[in-house]
Amino acid sequence: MSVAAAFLTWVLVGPPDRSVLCNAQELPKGQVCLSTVLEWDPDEVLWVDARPRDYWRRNGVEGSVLVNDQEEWVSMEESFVLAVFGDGSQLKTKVVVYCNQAGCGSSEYVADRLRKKHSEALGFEVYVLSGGFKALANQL
Amino acid sequence: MKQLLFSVIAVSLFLSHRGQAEMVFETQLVEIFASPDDEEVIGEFPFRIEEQEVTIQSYDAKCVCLAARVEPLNPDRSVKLNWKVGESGKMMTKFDVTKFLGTVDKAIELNVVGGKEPIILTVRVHVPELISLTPTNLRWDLGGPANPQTMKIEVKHQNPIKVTNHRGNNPKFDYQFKTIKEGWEYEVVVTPKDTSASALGMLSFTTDCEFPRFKRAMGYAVIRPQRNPSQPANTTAPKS
Repeated sequence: MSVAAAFLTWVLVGPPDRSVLCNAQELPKGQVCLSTVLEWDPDEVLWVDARPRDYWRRNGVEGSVLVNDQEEWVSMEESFVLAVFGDGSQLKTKVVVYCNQAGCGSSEYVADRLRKKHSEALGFEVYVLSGGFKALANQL
Repeated sequence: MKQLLFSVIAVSLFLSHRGQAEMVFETQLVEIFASPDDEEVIGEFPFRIEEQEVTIQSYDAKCVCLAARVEPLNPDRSVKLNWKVGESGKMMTKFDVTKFLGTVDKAIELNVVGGKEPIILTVRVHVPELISLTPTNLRWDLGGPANPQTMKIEVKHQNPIKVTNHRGNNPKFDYQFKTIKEGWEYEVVVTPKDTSASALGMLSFTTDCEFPRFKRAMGYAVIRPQRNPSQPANTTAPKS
């Protein structure tokens, strides 16, 4: 009966809302809501995946680069800089870092290092995606 | 009636505070200064049980680099989940730092039965960067003067680390590698041939450092337009 009730609820009300709530006004400094990112010119945005490589290969954002805290930093940093610069015609100006979930720590670490080492010279701003990959899941 | 309502609210708030005070940690932030050859570091979070018994529901390190365990274990070596008032123990954490540089925070989320919020225990590790490039990036404005700029390489270790090889990948940038003090200090003077177009150069340095994570260092040289939101980016210098 409970299964039937659940199914009926699904049919009448729809699937549960799994979107990640995000209030831009209450975010810590350096974080950004997905809704804000989606308003930006996509040609200006570089997604950085801070999850393990297997996860990135499986379902990373299209066009994202892998920069995590589990592999040799120098190699990943090279790929990142190349991705920001592109062919030089339009450098990325907004870098958005995401990891598995909110508070996983990897995205904060990666964002902090990229900000300190490259943001001023290459001319980009770095953000951590509030909610992590879960916030993206509904969009992918 | 108002008095009764107030009393109920006051007792509820008091009881909820008592719930949070059951598992009391000496500190919820442990800071560790790692040595360059450390592969892992240990962080300890001592706690004691006050006022009410505690049952640990779960704990999650949220990173494959961080392992956590509550000690002491039960006599049969199983994890001790049920704690009585007056007992004390510690959350032991083991942090794999082989891939990290600089300062990094990793957290463990601990949940107890009846707890309103998880308890967050943070391990903050400082991993020394034995080789620093200052600055990491050299930048020239598109169409600006092609002046030489210098990148300094410094060794911050008790033993010298020699740069054994160096290479630039973009012929649009000339560079001159100088040894100031072998094993301790070097300089790289970079000069773009011209700044009429955007360009990116990578400078790769190989060292004889015994620690794998410091065997390679990278510097970057970039010619790019100045950021101005009102103007579109372009690759060629403005006509004079």
